[in-house]
This record gives sequence, C-alpha cells and structure tokens, in this order.
Amino acid sequence: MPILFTEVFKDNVLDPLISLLHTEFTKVPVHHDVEFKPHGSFFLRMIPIADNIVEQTTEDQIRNYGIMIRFYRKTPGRVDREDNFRQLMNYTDRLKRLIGNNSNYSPSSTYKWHDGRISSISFQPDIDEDEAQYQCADALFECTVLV
Amino acid sequence: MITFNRTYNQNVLDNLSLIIQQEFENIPIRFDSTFRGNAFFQFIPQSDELIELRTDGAIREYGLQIKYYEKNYGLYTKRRNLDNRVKVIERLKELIRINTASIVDILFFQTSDGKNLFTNDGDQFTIFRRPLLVTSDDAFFITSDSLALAPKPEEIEYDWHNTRLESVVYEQDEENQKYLVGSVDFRCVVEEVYA
Repeated sequence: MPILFTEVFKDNVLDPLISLLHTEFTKVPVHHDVEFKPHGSFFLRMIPIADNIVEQTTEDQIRNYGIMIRFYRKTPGRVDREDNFRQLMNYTDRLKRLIGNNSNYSPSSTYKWHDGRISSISFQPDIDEDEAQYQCADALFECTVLV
Repeated sequence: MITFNRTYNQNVLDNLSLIIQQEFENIPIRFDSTFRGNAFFQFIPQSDELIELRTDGAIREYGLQIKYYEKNYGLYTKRRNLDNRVKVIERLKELIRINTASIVDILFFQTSDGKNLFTNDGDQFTIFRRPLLVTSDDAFFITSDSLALAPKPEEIEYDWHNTRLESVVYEQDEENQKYLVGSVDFRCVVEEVYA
C-alpha cells in the first residue's frame, strides 16, 4: 500500500503561484514547456529549478523551493530599445511587489509558503536562438515551506 | 492591478541618465547597440538582486553595464585612441562617487516670494550641498528686502545608496571594430518600503 504524502511542490508552491500570477497579470498566459515553444506575443514560462532542505526535525521539514519565471515579450522594433527595457522593468517591478505583498502566503487561511521573494532578476538571461525573437528576463521566485 | 514602485526605471535609470546627461552634455545615451556618431553611452540592464527581505519592504542591488563607445580612427595610438576613453571613464567614476548616496538635483536659493537669487554679476546662485542658513542667533537668513531665503526644492528624495562602478574594461567592440569601448559595471542599492 502506497504511503500517504502531500504534493508540496504542486499544492503549496506551483499552483498557488500560478493562481497569484493570474490574478495580477490577468491576460498573460503561463506555460510550463521544458523545451522552449513560442506562444504568442507575451507569456510567462515556469521552470522549476530547486527544492532544497533547510532544516529537518523528527516531525517536519523546512524546505526552500525555487521556480524560474521567464518573461517572453515580442516587442515592436529592436528588443533592446529603451522603451522596451523600461516596459519590461515595470513588469518585473510589479512582479516583485506582487510577491512582496504575498511574502507570507495563506489564502483563505490555508498555509502555502513563507518568505516568498524574487531573489534575483536577470535582464540578460542565457537564451536559445529560438528565444531570441522575444525580449526575455528571468525572475527567480523562491519561498520556504514548512512541510 | 496592484500599486508598485517603478524602482528600476525611476530610482535607477532616470537618475543615472540625469546625472550622466548633466555631466556629459554632448554624449547621447542609448539602450540599443545602433552604432551611430563618434561617441555614445550604452546602458545594458543586467540584474536586480535581493539583499534583504523585510516584512514591509526589501533591500535590493541593481546592476547595469555602461559602455562608452568611441569611434576608432586610423592607426591606434595611446594619445588618439586610449587617453580620451580613460578620461571619460575616470570622469564617470568620479561622478558616481560624488553621487554615491543620493542624487542631489541642483539646488537654487529662492526668496519667499519665489524669486531666484542672483549674484552681483547676474549669475544664478546654485549650490551642490544643502547648507544650513541661520545667523549666529539662530534667526533666518534674510535678504536686504526682508525676505527669508531658502533652498529649493525643500526636500531631497531618497534614490539609492552604495552606488559604485565595480570594474572597468577597455577593449575593441567585437561586433563593430570601428568602435573602441570603455565598459563599466554600475551597481547601486535601493531600499524599498512597501506602503
């Protein structure tokens, strides 16, 4: 008989994060492709990258989760135009504040995570040739979950 | 939509552009790598890293590469092709050093009826450090026509701190070898408080 377990990554981190993103960036689709696939003019791609133990006790664990949120924007003219950079920065600043406002996230009093943060943003991420048609930025979302 | 601060644009890019444009009036600032003209700066936004997470805000470090391009004419010589680039980069380093804690827009003295103070030879009186203007008995500094004199704007807004240029590289541009480059790594820290 299989053991009982909670899908912490999905239930506490990924699904709540997607739901949070949908409430703020209402018209921006979120995709999960392992290999890059183009999806219109503006979309986000979630790339799970980390699940590390922070502390272990006899009864529970504290784990740190990391998801890379990659922004893809098809922009008029060159991707490195000043307007394009400034618009992209407004999106990343908005994402930072969204996560900052929900740093300790317990929707309807159901604990999901604490210390949620965008720990780094890269405006010059390593991208494939196919991705170069888009303006890209990587925002690393991290949070801590008491399992 | 939530309300948020446009920190990268307003605290970092706008202020950096402002002080560079004030200092280097004839050198345009670009974000793209369109090669045009004899000299230009290119801003390449790089990073935004969390230093400290707080309950009501965050301290973050912003990174930006500033490239100074200069057209490469004729045979490369130190005097013609290096000295001016070094001069511009050193001037840029000093500009960032004196603005390490915040941007101080040029301040003007104004009388209480909104008139600017001019010197005897008709130059407008400007200041670079905010002074404390009181007489020895702590009274206001008053002009000869009995108007109080005060620096404007009244408050300096916080923009950034710990601003520095971390490293400098002098090279020839790989994409367009007609240009020589002086490249610097700009960093600043911004403390953001969520209202």
